[in-house]
Amino acid sequence: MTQHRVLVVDDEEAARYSIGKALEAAGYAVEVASTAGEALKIQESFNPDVILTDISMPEMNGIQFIQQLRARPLPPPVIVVTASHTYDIAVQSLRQGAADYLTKPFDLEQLRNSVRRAIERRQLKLENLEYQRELEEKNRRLQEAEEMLRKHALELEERVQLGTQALLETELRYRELFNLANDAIFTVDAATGQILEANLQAEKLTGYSGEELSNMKVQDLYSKQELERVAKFESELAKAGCGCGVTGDIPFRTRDGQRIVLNVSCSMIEMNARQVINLMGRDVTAIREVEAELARYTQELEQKFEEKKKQLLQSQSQLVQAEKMAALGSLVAGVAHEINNPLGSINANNDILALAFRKVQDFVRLHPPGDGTDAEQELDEIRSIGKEALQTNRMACDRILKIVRSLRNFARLDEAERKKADIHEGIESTITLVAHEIKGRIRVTKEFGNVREIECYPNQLNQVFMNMLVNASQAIEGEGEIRIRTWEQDNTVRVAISDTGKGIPAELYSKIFDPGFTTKKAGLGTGLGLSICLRIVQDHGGRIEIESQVGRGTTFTIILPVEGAPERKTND
Amino acid sequence: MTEDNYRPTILIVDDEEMVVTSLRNLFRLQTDYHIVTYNLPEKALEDAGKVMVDLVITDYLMPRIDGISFLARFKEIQPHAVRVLLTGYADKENAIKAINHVGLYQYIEKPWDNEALLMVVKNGLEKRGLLRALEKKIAELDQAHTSLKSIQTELIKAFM
Ligand SMILES: Nc1ncnc2c1ncn2[C@@H]1O[C@H](COP(=O)(O)OP(=O)(O)OP(=O)(O)O)[C@@H](O)[C@H]1O
Ligand SMILES: [Mg+2]
Repeated sequence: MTQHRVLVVDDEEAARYSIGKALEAAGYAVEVASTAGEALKIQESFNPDVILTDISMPEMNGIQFIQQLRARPLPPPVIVVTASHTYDIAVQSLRQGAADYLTKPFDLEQLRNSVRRAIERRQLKLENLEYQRELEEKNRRLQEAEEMLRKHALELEERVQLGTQALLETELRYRELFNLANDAIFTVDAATGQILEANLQAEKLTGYSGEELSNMKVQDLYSKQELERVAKFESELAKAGCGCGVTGDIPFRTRDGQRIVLNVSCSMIEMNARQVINLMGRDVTAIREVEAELARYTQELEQKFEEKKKQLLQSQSQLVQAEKMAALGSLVAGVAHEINNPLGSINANNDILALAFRKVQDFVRLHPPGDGTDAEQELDEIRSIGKEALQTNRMACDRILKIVRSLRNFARLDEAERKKADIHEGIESTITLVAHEIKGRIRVTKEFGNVREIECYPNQLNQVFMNMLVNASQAIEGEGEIRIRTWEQDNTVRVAISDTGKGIPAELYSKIFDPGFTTKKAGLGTGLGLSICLRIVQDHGGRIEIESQVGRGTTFTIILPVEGAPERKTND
Repeated sequence: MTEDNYRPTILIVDDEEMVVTSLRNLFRLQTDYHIVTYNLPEKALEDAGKVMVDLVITDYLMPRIDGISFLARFKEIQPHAVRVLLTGYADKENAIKAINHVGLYQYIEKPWDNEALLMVVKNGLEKRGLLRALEKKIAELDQAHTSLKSIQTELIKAFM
């Protein structure tokens, strides 16, 4: 509990002392002053809860003191202590605002009670004051709030006013747009299809007046022949539900029976508890016609393109065919040439033997054994002719056999698939087949190294060897030499075909591999030979190198990996 | 044939021994022609002046000298010999070109047909025979002319 403070003012020291002591004993903090002036000073610093003052004092009496004190803020209650037991003073002091008065002599009990009451009252008063201040504060706040509210209300009102105007303007603008729009706009009752509203363009497009439209249902406007299209569209719209737009072409029928296509955007909204469809349509009849025309044209073009493509493919396949023929042509020419001589000989010898046989028979008939000497000589000649014919035939047959074997070996028709093969076999066969190109004119030297068998398509490689050998022999005018060397290097097998021919200028190195590039006379070369070679070698994962000196000769080196190409598409 | 006992000479040139042998034997059995054969065209040309040849058959495809060049050169030495070319499958075009160039009588494709070959040769020899007869007539006329001239000279001499 806080200790209450009491200021005792009395010009009599004894009185001050006794009162002070009594109050201190009662638990109060006490200060004393001998004059009113002093008391006023102390009051400021001590801030007593209650002041006890004597009335009759020099300089300033008690009444004056109270008056002075009252001028101060929150003056403490003053209890007047007076010796003169006069009603007059009591009344005067009370009027001046004294809280109580005690008449000397008073007992201590009286003093304590009076002080306690005064303090309590002051306490109450202070509290009251506090409450009042709070109340005032609340009041102030309330007023502020009220003010704000009022302002808000004002603003709102203003806004509402503005809003209403804007709404009016919007409505006006919307009307304007509604009627100005280049698109036909309908508002339709979703349940019945009843047209609720239609703009000018809607009237213009359909040919019906606004009056007529307002009595119609939207389905009356659809083209009757194409209702399934409409149905599809409507189901889409239903699926989309409220608030979602759906777009599509719908065929309409105008008042005078003309078919028009509207590209329609629709959305369903809820208005006054019923579903309403907003439908906006643009006349796309002409556009769609143009589009259809375009589509037809495109299709036509595509068809033409397909045809052209087919033609191209065809000519491509013809080219492939030509490539095959190019390789084959050389082969056929070679084989035919090589077979001509033995075949002609066998044919001649058949006749010769038949004739010889007949002559011998005639001879035997005309000349029984041991006849004339002249005849013996004739018989000997026939015999020698027959013997020669038989010998020649044997040779001719051997030759044909060798050629056919080479041919089979070359074509390897029975082995068109990838396998391990010795390239030397292929080279040998090829040499036999191009013998007619080389015959007598060109010396062929072989320097075959010790090479492994390689993973390859032997028949295709033979084609390469043949093209190269034919090229080499054709590059040599008159006599010359073709050298074929083989060796293994860096896991590749290499075949170098060198000739002593006319050579190739360096600027042609890349060109000679182009399909169709030839420097040979028309009819002699198709120009496909090397392009075929390159493709085959590349298919085998290999490459071809050229080294040439114009006027001295050329070396083509075919480089093939021993294990073949890593992977290969199927052979066509 | 104008001459009964005339034995025509035929020259055969082909680098293939078996072809030469077969042709030689064919003619030996079927005809009484005198047959001369060569494997090397240059050798044949070397000897070209030695024997009078009525008809020459040569292969087209031969090392160093092809049949057409051979015939061209042979023609310079013996212009009267009838020229026949044996050609392979691929050489036909060249042969046709050569018909005018070397005055080819006929070309025969390999593998040849024996009867056809014999016929071509027989006809060729007949032509050659007619030419020979004509030559002979001309020579005779020349001769007659010359003798007439000399008689005339004699006569002029006698009357002068
Ligand atoms: N060994 C070579 N010496 C000189 N030139 C060559 C040699 N090989 C090719 N050529 C040149 O390359 C060209 C193209 O050759 P490629 O084999 O592709 O066609 P081609 O031989 O002309 O015709 P094809 O092969 O159809 O008979 C030849 O025309 C030739 O000019
Ligand atoms: Mg070629």
